[in-house]
Amino acid sequence: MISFENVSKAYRGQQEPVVRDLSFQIPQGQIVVLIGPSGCGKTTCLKMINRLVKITSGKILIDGEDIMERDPIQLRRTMGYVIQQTGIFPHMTVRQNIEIIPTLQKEDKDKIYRNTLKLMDMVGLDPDEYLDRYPTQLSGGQLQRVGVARAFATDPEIILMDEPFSALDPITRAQLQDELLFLQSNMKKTIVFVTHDMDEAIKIADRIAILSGGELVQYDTPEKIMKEPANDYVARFVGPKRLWTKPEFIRAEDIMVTDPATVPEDLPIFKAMEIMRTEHVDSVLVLDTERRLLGSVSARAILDCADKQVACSSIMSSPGLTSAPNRDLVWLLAKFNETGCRTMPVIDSQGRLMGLITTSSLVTTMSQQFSPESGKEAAG
Amino acid sequence: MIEFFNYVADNASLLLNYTLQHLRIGMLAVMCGIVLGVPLGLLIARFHIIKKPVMGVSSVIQAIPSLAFMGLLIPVIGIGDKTAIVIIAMYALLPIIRNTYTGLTNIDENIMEAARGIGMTSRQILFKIQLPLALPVLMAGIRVAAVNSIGTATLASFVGGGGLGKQIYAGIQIINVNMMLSGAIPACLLALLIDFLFGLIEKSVVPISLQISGSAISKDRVHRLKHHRKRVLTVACLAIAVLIGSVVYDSIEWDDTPKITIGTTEYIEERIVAELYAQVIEDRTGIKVEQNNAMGDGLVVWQALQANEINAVPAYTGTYYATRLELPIYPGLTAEDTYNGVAEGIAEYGITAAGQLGPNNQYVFAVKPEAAEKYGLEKVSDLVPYASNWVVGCSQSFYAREQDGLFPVCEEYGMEFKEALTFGAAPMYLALENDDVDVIVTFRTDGLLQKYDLVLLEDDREFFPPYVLFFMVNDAVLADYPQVLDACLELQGAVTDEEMQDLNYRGAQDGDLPYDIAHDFLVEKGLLTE
Repeated sequence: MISFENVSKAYRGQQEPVVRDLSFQIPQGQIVVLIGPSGCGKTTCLKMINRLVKITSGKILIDGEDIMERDPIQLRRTMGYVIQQTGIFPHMTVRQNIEIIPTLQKEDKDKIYRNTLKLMDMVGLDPDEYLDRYPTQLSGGQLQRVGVARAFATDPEIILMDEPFSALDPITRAQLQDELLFLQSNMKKTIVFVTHDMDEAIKIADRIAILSGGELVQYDTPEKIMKEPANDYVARFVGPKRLWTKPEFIRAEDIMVTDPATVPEDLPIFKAMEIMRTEHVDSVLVLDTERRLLGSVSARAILDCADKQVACSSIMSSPGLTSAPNRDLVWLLAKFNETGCRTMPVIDSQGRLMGLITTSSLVTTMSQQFSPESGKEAAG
Repeated sequence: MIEFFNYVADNASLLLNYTLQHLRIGMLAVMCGIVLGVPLGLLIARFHIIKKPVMGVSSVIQAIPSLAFMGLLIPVIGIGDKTAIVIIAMYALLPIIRNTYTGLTNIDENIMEAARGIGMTSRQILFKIQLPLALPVLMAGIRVAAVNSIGTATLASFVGGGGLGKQIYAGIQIINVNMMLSGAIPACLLALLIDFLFGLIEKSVVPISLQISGSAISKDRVHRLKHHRKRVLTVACLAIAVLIGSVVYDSIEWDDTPKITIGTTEYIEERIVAELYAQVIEDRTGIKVEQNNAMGDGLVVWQALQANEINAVPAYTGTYYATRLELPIYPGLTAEDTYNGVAEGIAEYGITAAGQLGPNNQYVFAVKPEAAEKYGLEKVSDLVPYASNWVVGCSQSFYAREQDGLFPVCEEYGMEFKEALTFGAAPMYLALENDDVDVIVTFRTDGLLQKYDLVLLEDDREFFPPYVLFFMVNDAVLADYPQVLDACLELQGAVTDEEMQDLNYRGAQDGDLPYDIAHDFLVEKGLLTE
């Protein structure tokens, strides 16, 4: 775990600090993306972790140990470091680039070579084809793969990535992002990733730290940041349409009607009729005293029943398909489509009613994605 | 043309020797430049704060005229190849420092950051990243320095060093075009050759990936380039080893037979006189006598004699009397008084005057015969009415002399020339011949006087002191070999003014070697047997 404790950075001759009083934690085995507009201090933050940039005040701890207590060279060798593809040494072959630190550490040559083959394989470069190539012979994407392989060469626990993919074309970038996620699912490294691209952040991050003017504005999961931006700055930064590009982040609880018409189980059905009339609905949900969902009563069922004094519970039908509050939009749409139902109650793990999704609430949600002004409300 | 090739063929071994000396001086200078310049470049790339002072100093050095530099350095490190090498190395510094710095600092910042970020130490970054990437630029600087050094190595002859400069300046002294060309052409070819060879090294040290475009890299090609690089570097290393070896070889005294060195400037008369003394001393004492007769000017010779880097020197009494010792001159100063004054004066410097040879090589005004006839010129006083319209030509040293130079003599006679031009010895005659100057001040025994058949004007006010050729020996030599003094004194008064002029004429007009001229004369006079 990497902990920032009241970290500030001010460059000499500049009045405003680049990073001010930053405190947050980067948990073990997660990808944390630092994002913000240029000049927000994200790269400075990253470079303070491997001491390329000197901390002005405060502390950075790695697993409880202050990085300032450690030898900077040794510290850096325990962290992979990936920058844009121009960081590959142009006068060395792919192999020399990957092996440079292990070689400098005078590790066993065979061991290094075996590891290099493994790394090449890991980043999807054929060793026979590419091992002895020079950087000028590689494409941008291939160079970046070499960069990633080099970062993993010392098998570090932490990988620092400074806008590694930003100079690549969109297709190659997407490919490398996918591969990074795949790698991470096997390797479980702690990855600190700087970018200015929100799409990239949302795609790869476990947590996103949004920086502005050297301060941490919001630090949360991508989903939370999109749904609950801490302020207008974050909302604008995230962008109104952003959520729609990730429909899996839209949950049942976000779009359900929170006050559907309900009746207690012992209510006589003529009273239920009255409620339907005033609420302009054609069915009500039947709850017990604990607000657990028992079933539903439709207007048609009441009309069919001769004795209007009987309790709702006696004529109710089963609740049918229900949804957990965290079911996403994709699932909901599929279910509605499959079953042809028009409503779906949302219940919590105890079976208590939380709300109701109706076909009209789905339509509303979807239509809002296409009108930027109201997008924020949909996200909220 | 054919004459030139004949000359080259006749002197092939001498020219080859000069060429090798030339190459050695230039290359050793570059090596010194690299040894000093590259670390300085590294230093200023690391510590930017000292960049300005270091670059400033090396730029200033570049701007110092090389002649002035020699004057400054000779008292400190003496004469010979080593002085030349130091001076040339100084001039080589700027391109080397500048290119080292540029090469190191022009590396893509991302590469540097990646190197630091992955945990390389600054030394590893320097040797594994910065230097390999900076090598092409660095080598380009060294190449410029090498070519410059070969060019400036001609100056070595001014400080008593060897090289093709000796040949060139000897040629200029007696206006011998073949001699000049036989020095200048090899110097030129050598510079081109060095440019080519350093170009090869420069190309081969460029990282392979930067030598050829990415698409053209094949395993085979890479292999060939590596092989080629290895070969070039092996040859370069061998060359360096040979250079260092030659220095070591030089520093070892191979034979311990006694020897003394006579030093002179390029001036033909001094070289002939040195030969006269050298052959007599060798004959009488059995001591080997070497000669160093390519020193820039008399002052250098005087300093080297005091330092006992050369052991004996032929010189002119008047020059030592008035200029080196700064004794007061006056009209009617006799030759004996001058010699005695000098002998007394140099004794204080630990130098012994070893007798006068005879010829009085006084300064003298000379004009073309046509001018003498047209204007009725016989004495210096006759110049007075025309001086203000005339241009005078003289040597640099005559122009600068405080007691017996151009200004004092003009003051004595009450005249002022329209303009004064200064020349090396021989070109002055050409200038007179071409009417670029109207009158020259030269030496009474100069062989070129005969060649150009000039009219000498009488010093009717007896302004000039006598300039009698005499010989001096460092006391340290005489302490070891007292017999040298006896040998020198045998030549007391052995040559007359006319004989000296004849000898000089042989050297200047016929291009005969000083050794042969002196030998023939000594045999003729019975001072030496065949």
